[in-house]
Amino acid sequence: MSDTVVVAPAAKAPLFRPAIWGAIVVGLLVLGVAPLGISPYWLRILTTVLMYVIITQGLNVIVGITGYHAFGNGVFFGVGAYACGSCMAAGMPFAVGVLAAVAVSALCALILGWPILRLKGHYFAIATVALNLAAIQIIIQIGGITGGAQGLALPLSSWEPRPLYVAIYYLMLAGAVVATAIVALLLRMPLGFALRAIRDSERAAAVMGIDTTRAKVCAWAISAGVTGFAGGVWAYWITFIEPSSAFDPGVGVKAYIMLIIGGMGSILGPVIGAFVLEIVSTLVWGGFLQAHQLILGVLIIVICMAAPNGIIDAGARVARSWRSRHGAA
Amino acid sequence: MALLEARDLTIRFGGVLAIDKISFDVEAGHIFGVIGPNGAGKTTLLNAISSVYRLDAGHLAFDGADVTNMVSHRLSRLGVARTFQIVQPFNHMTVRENVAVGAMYGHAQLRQRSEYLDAADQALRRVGLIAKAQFMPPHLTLSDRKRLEVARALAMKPRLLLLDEVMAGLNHTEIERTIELVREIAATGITVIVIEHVMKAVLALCDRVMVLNFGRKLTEGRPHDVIDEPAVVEAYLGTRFAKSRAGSAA
Repeated sequence: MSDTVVVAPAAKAPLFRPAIWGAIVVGLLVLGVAPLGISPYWLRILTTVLMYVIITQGLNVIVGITGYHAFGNGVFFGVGAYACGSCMAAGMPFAVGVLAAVAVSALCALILGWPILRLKGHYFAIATVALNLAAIQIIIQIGGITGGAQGLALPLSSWEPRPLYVAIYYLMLAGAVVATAIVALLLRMPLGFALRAIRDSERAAAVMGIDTTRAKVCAWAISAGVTGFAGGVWAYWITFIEPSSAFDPGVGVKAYIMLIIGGMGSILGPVIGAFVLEIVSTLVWGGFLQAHQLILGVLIIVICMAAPNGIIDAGARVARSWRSRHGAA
Repeated sequence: MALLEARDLTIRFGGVLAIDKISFDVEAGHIFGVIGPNGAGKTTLLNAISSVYRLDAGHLAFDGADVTNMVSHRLSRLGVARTFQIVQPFNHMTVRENVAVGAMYGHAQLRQRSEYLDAADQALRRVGLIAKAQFMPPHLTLSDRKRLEVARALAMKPRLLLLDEVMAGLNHTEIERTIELVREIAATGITVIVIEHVMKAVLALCDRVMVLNFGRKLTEGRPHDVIDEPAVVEAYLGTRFAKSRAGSAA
């Protein structure tokens, strides 16, 4: 009987198995109480991890689900940071700044996506790479409220540092949960079906009635809005932003690695990828000050060779073979 | 009135005329066959009708409305569905999800989860693929993948269905089954255009047949009349086919 049953990969099953739900609940509880007992150093690390969960989920929408390689997606992190920073520098509250970060980033993707998402495959990937460089130039030229080349200092909070950093941690946690929920919902919605169809065969998707350009632009706007949120909160967290830090291409590259080692197009892959890469790189950095880049690079290569479709996929494979070996259905 | 009216359809690839001033009408409810040697322009013609390629000249009307160079997704919402000769499954989605996409975005436009999944199961039952609804397409045989193409198109609730060599590469039993399936589809009122090399199927199914050669229309008519024309025998069928027919008729 077992040879007639070919089941969809677990990541695409409509509902998670109980074990995975259990792990999610435990994980959220641990993350929920973590700020009570950890050092400022680890609070900062965990906040960074959660920030990267958000960025990687944003990337997952356009790269993992839609199959459009937006190498320059990190640009929306910078757009979000500058949207939030400029609003706050103009005297608006932080909440308005974060909303602006989401809205302006999504709007930029809508406007840019309409022409460049007509490019297929690699051409789109290359077009997005140019965006980071263009954005740095634009911020420097605008000057004024963006601070230009001198950078932009955001108004300081009246809160004590510890409660402020804990609040930012929870904001990033909420963002990570919402971003993951967006990906999970999207995969169940008609738009998600359209995007997965485009990833597998854009030509077939079009003749089956999908307005492919519109679907891709929607996906990129969602991706950009999610990424912009992370940028907006980040700007307030570090309180001083400049073009080279906000539009650091390294942000997008790191999210890409996290997406690949976690598992493209899956719901939990980006979460796992962000945790694994950020925590491993922190530990390596702490243990090998001289050669941490080299060791990290080797580790990434090893993970990619051992789990070419991501940790989620490798885990599902192991679980399947374990079940078939132990006979339980 | 004809459901599909094609006038002087022309497509150029560089200096080559892939199809050259092809005109024909497809009556509602008919099965219309397109035959011809490899490279005659059959698939290009289908790509022209389904707006995968843009026309360099000519006009296309569907149900009385001008649809010349209308974008693919709008044409399919009007009720034109097609299969691909080289199958194009969505490999990372289950068979059922593949077909559900057709129900969501085709002429049917079903947006409720229960509705589009029901429509998908209905189409899968019709092509005999329901037992493999949870499979991933790479695990299907070629014959099943061809049936998946048909199921996806059916789930769109089309008025005009374009079948591009759905029988190529199938064995005798599978061909018999597919002929029966196409007949059932036509019986539900869907107009069908078939591109096919399997002459048995063309003769069994088609109300009218058009023969293409070197991008031009050679002739058109009832299947049994068309295959007796000397020009068709020479260009496509070959004298052996004509002799074997004459032999079996005698």
